[in-house]
Amino acid sequence: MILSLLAILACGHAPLAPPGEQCDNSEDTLLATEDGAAIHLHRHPANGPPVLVVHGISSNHRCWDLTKDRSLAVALNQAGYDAWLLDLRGHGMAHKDIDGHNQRDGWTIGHYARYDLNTAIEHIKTQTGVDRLGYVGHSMGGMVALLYVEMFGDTNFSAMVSVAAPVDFASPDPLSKWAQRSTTLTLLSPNVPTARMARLFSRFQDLPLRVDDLLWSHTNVSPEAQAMLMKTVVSPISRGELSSINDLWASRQLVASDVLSGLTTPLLVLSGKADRIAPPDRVRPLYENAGSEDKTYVLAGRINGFQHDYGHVDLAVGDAASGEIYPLIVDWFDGHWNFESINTRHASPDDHEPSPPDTVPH
Amino acid sequence: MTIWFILTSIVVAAPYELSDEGRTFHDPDKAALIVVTPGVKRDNYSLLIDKLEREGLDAWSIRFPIEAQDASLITSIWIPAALEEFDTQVTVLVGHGFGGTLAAEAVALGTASPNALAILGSPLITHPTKLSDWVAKQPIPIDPISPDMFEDITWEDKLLTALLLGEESLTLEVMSPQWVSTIQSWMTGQLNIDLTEASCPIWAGSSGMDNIAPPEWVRPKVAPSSFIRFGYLRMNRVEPDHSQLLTDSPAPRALSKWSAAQLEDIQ
Repeated sequence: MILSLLAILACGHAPLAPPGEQCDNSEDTLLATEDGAAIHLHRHPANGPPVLVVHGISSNHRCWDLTKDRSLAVALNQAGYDAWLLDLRGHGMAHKDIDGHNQRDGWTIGHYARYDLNTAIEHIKTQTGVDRLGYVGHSMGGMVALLYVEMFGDTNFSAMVSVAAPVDFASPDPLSKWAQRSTTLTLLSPNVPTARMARLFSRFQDLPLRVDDLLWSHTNVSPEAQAMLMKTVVSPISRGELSSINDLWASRQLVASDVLSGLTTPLLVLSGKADRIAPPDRVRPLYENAGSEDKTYVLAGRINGFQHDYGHVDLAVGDAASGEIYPLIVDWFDGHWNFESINTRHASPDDHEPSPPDTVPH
Repeated sequence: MTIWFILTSIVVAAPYELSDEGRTFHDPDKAALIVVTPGVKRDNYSLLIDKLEREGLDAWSIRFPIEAQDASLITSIWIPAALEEFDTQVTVLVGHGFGGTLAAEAVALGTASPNALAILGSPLITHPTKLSDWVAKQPIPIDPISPDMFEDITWEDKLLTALLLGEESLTLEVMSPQWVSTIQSWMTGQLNIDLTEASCPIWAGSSGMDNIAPPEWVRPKVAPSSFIRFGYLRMNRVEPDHSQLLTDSPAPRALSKWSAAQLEDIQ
C-alpha cells in the first residue's frame, strides 16, 4: 500500500485539461509574477466592467467555467461583463511557469494574495483602463481576496462576492484535526496529487472515504457532471499551501478582525446549507464583521427557497447553479455598477491590443 | 437494548410534571434533568434517557402540559423550582431543540444553577430565512393546537414538518397558542442567549442539516470548547437532521458521556 501511495505521489502532475469551449473569442494569458512564478488568466471579453473570478483549493478556473450551461463566466459575459478567470500558480493552466518549468511547491496562500492576485489585478486594470474591478472568489479564492485586502486595501474592488469562503477557524472538527495530522504525508512529495487521484476515481460515483459527501450534494451534481468535474477541475494541492491553511486552525481566524471591519467594498457572502468544507458558521462571520455598509448574506438551502441544500462545490458548478447562484452574482454586480460610468479607455473585444508574447489566443 | 422500565412518579402535580424516568439502582447523587420541549412527546427521549442511565445518571424529565407552556414562567420559575428538588445531588440540565433553548435561557438568566448544561439541536440565536418569515406570517388559532394540524402543511411544495424536523419527524402532541407564538418569534430572529461566559460547564451539540438549530445559530453563543458538530465532519455515518440528533445514537451518547464526566469531576 505504501508503495502504491509512493507511486501515485511520484507521478506528480497529471495532464491538465485545456480551457473550455464556452466562449468563441476567449483569450488565455500566462503572466509572470513579481516573485518569478506564473499565473494564468482566461478571459471572456466584453465591453462591460471587468470581473475577476478566482477558484478554490485543489481547483482551477474551470470550476467557474465547466460547460456552457455551467459557467459563471458565460453568465457574466451575457450580462455584459468582461470576465477574467484566474488560475493561481500551480493550478490548471498555470501548472508551468513562463520558462516551462513545473510549479509544484514553495509557496503559501499568502503568495497567492501578495503576488498572484496583485499581478492579475494590475494586469486587468492596465488592459481595461478601469480603476476598480469586481471580484468573485470561491472558497480559498475568497480567502485570498481578504489576505489581499489585508496587504493592499480594498480600493481596487468595486464589489465583491465571497462564495463559501471560511474566515472562522476556531473549534476544529475531528475530521479537520485528522486532516492536519495526515499532512505529514506531504513530506513525501511537493504536493498532494489530487488531480491524478480524481481522474483515477472519476469513473466511480462514490469516492473512497466518502469524500464526495464532503464536497457536494448528490442531488445537485449529476453523475455526468461529477465525472467531468473530477477529470477537469481538480488540481494538485501544494505542500506549502496545505501547511498554511493548517496553520489557520492555530490562529483561529483568517485575518484580524480590524481587516474585516476595515472592508468597505459592497459585499455579497454566499454560503451552502450542506457545505461541509466551509460550513455556514465558518463563512457567515465575514458578513457579520465586514465593515461594508452595503452587504448581504445568502444561505443557499431549501429553507431559503433554493431547490437544494447546496454543498461546497455545487455552489460554483452544481446542476442548479446557473439558475440560482449565477443570477445572484450577476445581480449583485448589476446593482453596484453604473455601466455609463465605465472608463472610456476600457477596451472592447474587437479593439484590444495585440497579444503579448506570453499570451496564448484560444 | 437493555431492559428498563419507566418509573413515573409525579412529584409536583401542577403546573409541570417532574418524573423519574430511570432505573432505581443508580447513584442517586448524580442526576440529569431533561427539559422536554413543549409539544414534543416524551417517548422521543427514550434513547437519550437510556444513554444517560447507562452512564450512571439518574434521568428525570420535566414536562409542560398545555396549561404550563409559557416560556417566561418555565425559565424563570419552573425549571429553577424543579432543580431545587435535586438539592442534595449534582445535576446536569439537559434539553433537545427548544427544550434546550428554555434550559439555556434559565441558565443565562441565572434563575437556574445546574452543575452543567447539555443542549442538543437547541438554537441560541436565529437569523430570518424565507421559511421562518413565512412561518411568522401564519395566523395562530386561539384554541390548543393539535399535532394533526401540522401534518399536511406545505411550504414551496415541501412538507413543513419534514423540512424543519426531518423526514422521520419526532412525534408531536398538543401545543398552546402562546407556545407556538413564542416559537414563531424565536425563529424570526428574536432569540439571543449568550452562554459564552456561563456560570457552569456547557456542552452544545449541533448538526449542519438541522433546520431548527444549525451550527451558525449555536456556535457563536457558546465558548469554542463547548461546541460539538455532529455529522460527516465528526466522521459520523449520518449527517443528522433535527429529529435524528435525538433519535440516532451518536449525539445522545456523546451528550451522556460528557454529562457523566462533568458530574464525576464535580463530585
